[in-house]
Amino acid sequence: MTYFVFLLLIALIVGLIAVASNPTPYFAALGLVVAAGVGCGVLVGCGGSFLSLVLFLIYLGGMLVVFAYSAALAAEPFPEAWGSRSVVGYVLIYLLGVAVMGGLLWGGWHEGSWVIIDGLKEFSMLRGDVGGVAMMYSRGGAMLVICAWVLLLTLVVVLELTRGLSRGAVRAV
Amino acid sequence: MTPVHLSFSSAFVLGLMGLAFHRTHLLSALLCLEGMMLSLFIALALWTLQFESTSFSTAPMLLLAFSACEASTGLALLVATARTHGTDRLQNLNLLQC
Repeated sequence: MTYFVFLLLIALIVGLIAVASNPTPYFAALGLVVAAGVGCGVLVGCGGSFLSLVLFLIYLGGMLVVFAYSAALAAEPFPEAWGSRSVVGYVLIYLLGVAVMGGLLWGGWHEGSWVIIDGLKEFSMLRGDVGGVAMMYSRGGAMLVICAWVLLLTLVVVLELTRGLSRGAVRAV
Repeated sequence: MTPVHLSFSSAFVLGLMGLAFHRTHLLSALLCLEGMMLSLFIALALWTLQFESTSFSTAPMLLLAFSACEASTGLALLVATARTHGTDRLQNLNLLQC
């Protein structure tokens, strides 16, 4: 189980290298989808099933879908995947950098052990993260209202930026 | 450093370097920014889980809400750029170049 989570952590780093190495945005979005998926796996491996589900639904299923079809705005006649000359240099440099930092900062054999949350305690009705998120509705109610307000404000900002016909915030559009 | 700490720290630094260095498309920069947000979400959620401070699990949820705001604003700017300049390539954003 520990080795499986370790494999998912490596896949997270490789996925972000795939995004950061400047391919065509189609492939960068694919790398980010893979990184988000294995990130959810890491959270499940540490016992946070609710937070993992939130990441899957909201991040992958909401935000990354929008990025994926916005990649149509970045269409190129000759897309560059990770094998093409300009991208493969960045990939190798980032892999080397991560390997060097990993080699320098590696702790001992004991530092890789982790357990599932609430795994060493008494029986509980709810998983830890589920009970914690419920605090957002009780004690954190003010922050919830602020977040809802900010999301409404962002909707207005987006509509204003893309209003068009020289009457919005960006006059040239 | 524990493997978990190392992995999300290097994920954050990789996203930051991808954002800062030479880009071709504006959308690539926005995707690197989203990668940084992903690494921050994983970091906060793993803080909650590994230190068993369960009331901190509201923090990743709120981070996700604000990250959604930022992503949508970035995409609106991308659409505005594609409307004015016809493309989102960064070499076309040279109006202030001397």
